[in-house]
Amino acid sequence: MNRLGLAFLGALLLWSGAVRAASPERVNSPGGITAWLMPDPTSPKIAVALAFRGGRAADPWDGIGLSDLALETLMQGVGDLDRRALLGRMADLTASVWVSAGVHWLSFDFTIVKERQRESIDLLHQMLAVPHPTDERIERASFNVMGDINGAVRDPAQLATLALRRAIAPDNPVLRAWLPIMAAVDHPSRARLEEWYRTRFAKDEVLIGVGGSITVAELGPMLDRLFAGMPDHGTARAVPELEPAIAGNPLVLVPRSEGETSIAALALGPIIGDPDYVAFAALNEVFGADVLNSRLGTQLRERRGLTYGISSELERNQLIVSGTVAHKDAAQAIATLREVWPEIGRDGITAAELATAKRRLRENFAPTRPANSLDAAEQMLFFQERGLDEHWNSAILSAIDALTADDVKRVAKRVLGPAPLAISLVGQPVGITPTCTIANPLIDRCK
Amino acid sequence: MNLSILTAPGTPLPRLMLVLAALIWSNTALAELPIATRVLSNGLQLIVIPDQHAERLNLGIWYKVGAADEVDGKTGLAHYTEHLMFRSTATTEGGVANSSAALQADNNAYTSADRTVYTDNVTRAELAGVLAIESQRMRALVVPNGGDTELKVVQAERRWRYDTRPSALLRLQADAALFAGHVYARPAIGTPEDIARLTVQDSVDFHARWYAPNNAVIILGGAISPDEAFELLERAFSDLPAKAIPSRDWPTSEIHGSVGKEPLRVADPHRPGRSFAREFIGPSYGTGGPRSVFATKILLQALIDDANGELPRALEDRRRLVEQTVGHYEPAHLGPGDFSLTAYMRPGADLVSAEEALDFVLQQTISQGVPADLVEILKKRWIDRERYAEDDATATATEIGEFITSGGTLEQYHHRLEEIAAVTPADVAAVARQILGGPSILLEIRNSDVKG
Repeated sequence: MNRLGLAFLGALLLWSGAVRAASPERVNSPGGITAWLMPDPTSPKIAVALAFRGGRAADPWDGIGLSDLALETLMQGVGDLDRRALLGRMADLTASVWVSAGVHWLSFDFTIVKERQRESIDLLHQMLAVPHPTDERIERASFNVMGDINGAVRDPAQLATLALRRAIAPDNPVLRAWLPIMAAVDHPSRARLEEWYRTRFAKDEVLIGVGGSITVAELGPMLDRLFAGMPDHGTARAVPELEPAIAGNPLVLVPRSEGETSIAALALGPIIGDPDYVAFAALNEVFGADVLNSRLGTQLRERRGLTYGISSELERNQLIVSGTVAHKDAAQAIATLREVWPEIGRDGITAAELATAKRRLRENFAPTRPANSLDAAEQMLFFQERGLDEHWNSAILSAIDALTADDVKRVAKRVLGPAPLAISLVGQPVGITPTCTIANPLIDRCK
Repeated sequence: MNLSILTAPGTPLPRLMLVLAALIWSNTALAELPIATRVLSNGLQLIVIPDQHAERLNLGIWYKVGAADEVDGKTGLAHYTEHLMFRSTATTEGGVANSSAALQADNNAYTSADRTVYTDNVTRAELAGVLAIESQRMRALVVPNGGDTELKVVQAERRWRYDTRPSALLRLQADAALFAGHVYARPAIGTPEDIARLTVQDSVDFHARWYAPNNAVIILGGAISPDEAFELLERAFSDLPAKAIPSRDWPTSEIHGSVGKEPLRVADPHRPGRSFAREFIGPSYGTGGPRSVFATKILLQALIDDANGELPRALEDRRRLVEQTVGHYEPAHLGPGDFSLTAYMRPGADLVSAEEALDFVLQQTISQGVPADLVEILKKRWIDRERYAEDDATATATEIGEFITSGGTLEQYHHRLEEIAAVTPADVAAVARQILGGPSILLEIRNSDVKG
């Protein structure tokens, strides 16, 4: 199993409970489908979290955005039910569906009422295994996806991150998947979409987590009903991680008429599964995850009042800083960022910082009881998406316990400096000397 | 006025969701989370929502003070005070630190017109320490340094949230017009001129006037027994003195809605395409009580529900003028609530025709109400969602907090499902006449590249 997945900590933070009460069970259906189950017989609901391998990053160069379009089209109608009839039917069943095309995974969350299981699963089966993309549904979906894209390309914060990623690794398929240039979405063809469903929705491409009021014996037949008729094999490809290759210290400027300057900065570290991953996650906590008390927050917000919010987050192996400042303060903010950046690699962290980081990591990694059935289902999926076994939680807890300040310093030295720091700015910052200026990060890139 | 303002960006509180589960409608009743309450002799109300699913505890300190309690010339003071609470000195086992550093836990706060809320997400082991800090900053605001820097942070927040976003500024302008004459007309975050003049002493005085045990509610949800919770809460808060709290009687009769015929218009480079919105004054828990709020929620669904709403059918399907219709209703206020409908235009469609089509549907709703069978369908779906909802102490705590600080009682809260079931088509028709027939304001937002 590969180790691709959604934004790691982002996904983790969605957890508000977790895994002590019961331990997960692997269930194999009579039809050969495997799911991980965390049952809760007291719940009135059943939740299923699915992910098909190979998200947007597996779309071809001339079909970027097909994933978004395909999933959005599913929501426009099922069988003979048009969109409104579908939504009405789901409301009557108290069922909910959430879909998302991620970079690496195509995700579905279903929550249904146990008492209405049969009708609900029949509806979801039709949606998933018998997609019915009429021209009208595709057109409506295209409108919606283009609307999202048009919003995204006008958001200076998203533009700043995009400019940065393109400056670092313009040809990487993962970065390509972030490009909101989705010509395929604007000129959708029904045949192409039908082919997409045939090749991407397959039994051997899906991982399944289940939670709520269902037993091992009941789950197998339910899964077989849900996936009946779906092809056995798909063709999604694994997508490589970003290669750590930041050359020089690029400072990319995107001049735009904005009310303030958006800043993004990026560094590359180890991916989950690497022995240093926990130290990397701890580094992110100390460096910038907390808007108020991290190194970044303390220096830029608490001491200098330069920003309402600047913070860092991990997205797989990328540590990404983002925030906004007044145009006139941009130079001071960048100077401060450059000053703070290598500090941890040079001087290490304090005992108090280590303790806080461990505490926050335990919070993130060691939820102990699922808050609800969907939470349980998502946890079960989470393990599988990352190629981890059921014992991963306790393994990572031991790693957090064993973590030392020196580990964090060592990883910081590698990730934050003297390694190069890539920065991008969108707006009209004062007193900045960029290494490269581009008009439109969707099209241009630094030479 | 309705935008809550968080101390730290990016961590919104859980959305308001009615999470209940009591009987009604069928005999397959589910057990509701048991809610325990107690009032200390200093007037502090405690509410505990035990939930074994929530191992981490959710602590909320709800103060009955907000931007609506400011005086002219000091707008933004409630919010600045909330920010300074994180710089207020706290003594812990580790020594003296500011509250933000001392709390450590996952914490945040927000200020709205009606309330100021501080939340901490804590383990059982951390609870006593966090309560001790919350108790110290309830007693007094002590900010020996950094107050000026925090004012710059608040100014940066105002810039980030409003001044760099033309459509957000337009909403402030709309509130100012629609609620003219009422304290809700003022922006909760404050005007740039007022914010620039705020001082730490202003906040210390504001805190002294409003922050008191008898002007707060503490709600604790999660895996803890009521007895244990009450003991810890009493130990931390029982020696705080009660204070005389000023009146919060904001006259609503003064609202004169200086709404002209011309729409408010803005071009926003961050918003794609074109949209328009009509904003109305709605009932709130404070002004109308639960029945009228629930009738209004059904009215909103009858208008905008994707499956059955009249506006999507008329504007999106029949006329194909609009791509999406959405609605917003915020009843968690002591004063009037707000009710708005927004339509996102299809590219190339005629804006005036769409506005007229929306107004036509609203006129029809005023004169004919909502069909009785649709009211029944929407009620049944709503009650089903509640019946089949899973326990969620955090969502329950948020709902109770908003309800109680909007003038509701726990007793009313316990009976809300009966109240939903009792809503009649006549109730819905009555709120439709009241809201849609009252003053309203039209907003038009377009991307800067789209021709006006």
